[in-house]
Amino acid sequence: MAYSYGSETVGGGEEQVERQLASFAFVREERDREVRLHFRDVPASELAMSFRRSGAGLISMTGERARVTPMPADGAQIPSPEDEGPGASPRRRRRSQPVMEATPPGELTVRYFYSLGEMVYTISITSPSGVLQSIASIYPNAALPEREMQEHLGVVFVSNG
Amino acid sequence: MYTVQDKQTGASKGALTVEVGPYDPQLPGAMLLRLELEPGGGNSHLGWSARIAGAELELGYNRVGLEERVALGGMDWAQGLELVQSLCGSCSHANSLAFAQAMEDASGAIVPPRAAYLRLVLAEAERITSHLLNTADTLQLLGYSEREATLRDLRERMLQAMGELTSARLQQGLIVYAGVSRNLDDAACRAFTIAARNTERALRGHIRSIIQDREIARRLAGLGKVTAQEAAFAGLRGPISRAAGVTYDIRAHFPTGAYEDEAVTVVAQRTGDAYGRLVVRLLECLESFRVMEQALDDLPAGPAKSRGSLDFGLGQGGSGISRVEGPRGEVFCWVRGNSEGLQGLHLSSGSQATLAVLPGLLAGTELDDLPLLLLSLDLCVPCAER
Repeated sequence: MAYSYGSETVGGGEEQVERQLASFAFVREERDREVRLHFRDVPASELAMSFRRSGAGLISMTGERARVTPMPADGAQIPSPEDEGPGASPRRRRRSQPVMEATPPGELTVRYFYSLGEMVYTISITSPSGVLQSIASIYPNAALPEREMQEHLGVVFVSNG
Repeated sequence: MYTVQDKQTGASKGALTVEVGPYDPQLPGAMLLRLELEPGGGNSHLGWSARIAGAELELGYNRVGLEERVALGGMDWAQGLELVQSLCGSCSHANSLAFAQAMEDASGAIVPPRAAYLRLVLAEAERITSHLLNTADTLQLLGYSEREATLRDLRERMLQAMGELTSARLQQGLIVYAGVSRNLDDAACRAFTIAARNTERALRGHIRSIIQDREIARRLAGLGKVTAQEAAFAGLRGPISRAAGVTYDIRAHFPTGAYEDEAVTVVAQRTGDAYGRLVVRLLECLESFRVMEQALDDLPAGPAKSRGSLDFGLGQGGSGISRVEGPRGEVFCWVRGNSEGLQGLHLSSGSQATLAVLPGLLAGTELDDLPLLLLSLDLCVPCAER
């Protein structure tokens, strides 16, 4: 596995697409038949267009949110059943869990898998805002995964122009 | 089930919307299709023709939520493999192979050669049974009951041979991390080879007569036509794209395992219609028989599984990918985890790209041709609803 920052000439068809991506800062990892590029808060449609111009196909895309540990609100707790005596009111709801604040969703990372020649490019884009540009107009087969991510992860995909 | 409702808002030409599904026997799975019919001309019925002007697709009626389940709390690797295997009956081997290979890619495991060859045999057998089923269903819709029965009989012979070899007709559950769960002895493999060759010999004549049947060609020609440019732009995979002239097959262009040693000839047509897809599937059956029998002849000796358990080294974890050519096209799998368990999963089936562009494929089709068109696309809704 090799790590590098920025672009690096790799030869063949891949050189064209990585040259086009050079304007964005990314972390590059190379493995056997796979290249991983990690971006943060970049326009997904521009990356997709670069790959489309290079003749790459979109295999699939997926997303995930970083797990966030819920924090109790100011240490407030409702007494557990063990704390209640025989004279406790039967109408009182019993909980042993502390009251939790509503936890914000974790940071979103969307992964795009492109096929270019014999290589698979795994493009990871981390989006703190949870809003990404839709690439369905560039790759129609992205429509279904984008819809799934909208429904299940709350990702907002905005169309270009 | 059909519900007809008058659509008066929005559409300036007063289109009629017909809903098909979500549970309809002519659909490939649980899904809802909203079809807009064109306003009819002089010979139309009640003012609407039977030609589909537009369509909307709604999924989610059979959603498993496997990826969300893994993302929520992680999962044991073995449990993940078992769930992936049971997602779909006709793509079980392809899905589990993609998952296992992704695990092996993430951890750097090496699969013994014998296991790689056995995986190839199982993959090609699954392709044959899937293609024969689709062709038999197509012949049933066309009214060729005798040919349909013959193909189902030949498929049954393959399933019985698979059952005798692996103790299971479908969903064999043999794929495990770094190999197959048990070694198939040479005597059983030889018996399977004989059964496969007999089935292939019987199938050849029928394939020739089906392909040369002018009535079948006339009925299917032009139905659901896709050009090579459209297939490449839309990211269509498998027999659908190969029938349009896109000569791409993961087994040939991204070979893994035994496919690196056993070359596969890519079968393609140029018509891009339902007839082209039928021809591709039938010819792929013959190619799968050839590759499978060659692999059985070349089957190396040795263990069927690498020793040792899943180990990412220093417990760092990692991620891996895998691409497998399933019966309906490329099955792609991405996994992330460590020695303790699976933490991220993404499984993409060959049908997902087709479902994404299905409304465009249906536009311009006669309503009566809808079941035949959907059958020619060979959609797998359970895989898409993982």
